[in-house]
Amino acid sequence: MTPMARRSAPTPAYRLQVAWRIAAAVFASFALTSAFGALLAAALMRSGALPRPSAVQAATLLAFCVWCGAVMWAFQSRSAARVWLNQGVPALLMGILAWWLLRGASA
Amino acid sequence: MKDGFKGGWRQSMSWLHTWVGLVSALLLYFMFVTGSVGYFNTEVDRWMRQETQAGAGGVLPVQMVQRGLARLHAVSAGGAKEWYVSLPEGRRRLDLQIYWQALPGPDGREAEYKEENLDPATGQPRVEPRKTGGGNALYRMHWALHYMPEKVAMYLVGVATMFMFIALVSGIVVHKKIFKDFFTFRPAKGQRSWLDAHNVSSVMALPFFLVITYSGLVFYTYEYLPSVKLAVYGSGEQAERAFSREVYGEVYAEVARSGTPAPMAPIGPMLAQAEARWVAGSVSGLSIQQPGDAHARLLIYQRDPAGSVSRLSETLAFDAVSGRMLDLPAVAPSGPGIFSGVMLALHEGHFAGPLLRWLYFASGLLGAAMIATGMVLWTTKRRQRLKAGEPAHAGLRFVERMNVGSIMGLPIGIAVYFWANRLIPAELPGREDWEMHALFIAWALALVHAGLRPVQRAWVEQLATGAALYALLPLVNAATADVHLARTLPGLGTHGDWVLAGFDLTLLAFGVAFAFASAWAVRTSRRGAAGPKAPDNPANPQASPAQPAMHMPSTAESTIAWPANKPDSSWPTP
Repeated sequence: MTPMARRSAPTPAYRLQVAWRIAAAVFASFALTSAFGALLAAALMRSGALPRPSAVQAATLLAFCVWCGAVMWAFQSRSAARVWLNQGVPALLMGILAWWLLRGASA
Repeated sequence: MKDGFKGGWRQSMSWLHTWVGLVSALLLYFMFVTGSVGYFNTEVDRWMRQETQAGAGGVLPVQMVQRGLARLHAVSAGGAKEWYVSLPEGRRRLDLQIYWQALPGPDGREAEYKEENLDPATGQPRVEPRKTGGGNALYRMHWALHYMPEKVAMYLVGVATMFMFIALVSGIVVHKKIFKDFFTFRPAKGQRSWLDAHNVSSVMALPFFLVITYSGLVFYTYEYLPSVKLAVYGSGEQAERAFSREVYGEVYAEVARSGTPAPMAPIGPMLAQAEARWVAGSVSGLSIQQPGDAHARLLIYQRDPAGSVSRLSETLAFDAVSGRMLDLPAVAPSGPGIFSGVMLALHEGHFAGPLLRWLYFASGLLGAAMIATGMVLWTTKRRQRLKAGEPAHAGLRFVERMNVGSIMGLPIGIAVYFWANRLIPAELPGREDWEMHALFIAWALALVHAGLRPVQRAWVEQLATGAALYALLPLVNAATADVHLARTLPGLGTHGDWVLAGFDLTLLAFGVAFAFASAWAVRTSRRGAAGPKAPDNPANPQASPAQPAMHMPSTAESTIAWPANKPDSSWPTP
């Protein structure tokens, strides 16, 4: 596309892409952030580095920064499908690992 | 699989920066302005409640507590779930305050908290000749907004804060020359001046913005990001209790009602125990859960040490019937706990003395300026892209008008809030609500006005309106109240008082600032009328050679100094 073409009004297809990309950024980054936080909390607890409440606090406080990074990453990716792949798969893996580490941990 | 989002790292981050900024700009601007003004809540309160002289005046804490409890007895004939007594504490709390929550209704719904300010000398509610929301009503809007349930506001504010965080970090990464831009301002160059103004206001207080934004999220850590807590503790009431016990401590656990009435032990010895453990005068207040019940529990809260940024003050629990101190397991201070506490303390800034308080205020206004310049930059850039004679499209015209009405409408509304405080008759029922309605009515009128007038005229007229409203307020004050400058200015008046005098002087300063801005807008619009094409057109030979290699020549793409324009980029700015 030339700069000239860029100045014309966005097409419906483009708007749809934007919406799809935003949806990917919101949901995939939330999943990635949550899974990262849960895994970090689990690791801190299970390794004995921090007791349970501090592990949850520390992981959640750090996860806000991860969230910010994940959203930025989502907009930098080549396509929305990539976002789901790049962030969804690690989220799933980290989630499973966290779940495995946390068996029987809840109150 | 590729969609329209190809292009370099910087383009994509610039797109994100613009998008999150544009979507949340209005709410963030509102939060920065109300947060800055509300940070002076006590001072604003003193001006707005000019007839009321708050203050403890040498009454002993134990007397105040007894008077507070007596008043709570009087207002809770039908029983109460919880009582609070908060003692006066420096500028943070000028009066004795009580809060109470009635027992839940028959349907199990929790009752709303009510509050009263008491005269510490008598224990009776302050007689207020004019009811007002005061400074706290402005302060509260910073997070609870207005005209909506608190929960909705909490999530709206949370989303906006997260967007702000993303806008800041993406703004930093696309920004190559942070240090250089600190010293770069090229006035009267249209879009570039707005870009410079946006950069300077952003970079100047960048650490403040990062901390204030991140710490804003910390206030509702587990509401905004509940997943880690849910993963570890599970969900449900039992999990909630376990979490609260482990993170905040057993003392704050909720006590169930037994149903058997029981008289309360005298408060004096319990207060004496607390003061003996800490130091005299270090009790900040107390609360009683299930007062009058056999299970009643009393908590005594310690003050944060003056000037401290930590929140390590202690809370003691007592059996309110026997008067015995309860030995409940305390939460050991932990790294993350201390970190959260420091973040919250930095955000609230209660520790700050006068100088630091002004610096916070100035940084907050700089944040409002950062957002406002960003909003104007968005439209200036799009207008500059238009070819000669090409009409601006409806979206651009809409945003231009919204900008005037939003950016100037809010300060105009706040000035009208102060006018309303002085002018609404004292006996009008619900006058404190009408003060606030006046703010929003004025803001709505500003938006309508911006919709009806040519954009440049709207700027000039609203800036002039703001100037008049602020500059005349000290006069209105003098005409309607006796706390005017001629009496309050130290050295001049008989009742020298820097807080009241400072308030009037600050209003004058804002009036003068808006007057200058208005005059400047007049000059800009005249120049605009002389030559409709913006001054920093790339075709204009003045523009580029004057600033060689400092920045990109201003083409459509340079939101923030790009290394090079990529003409093949398909990132249309939103």
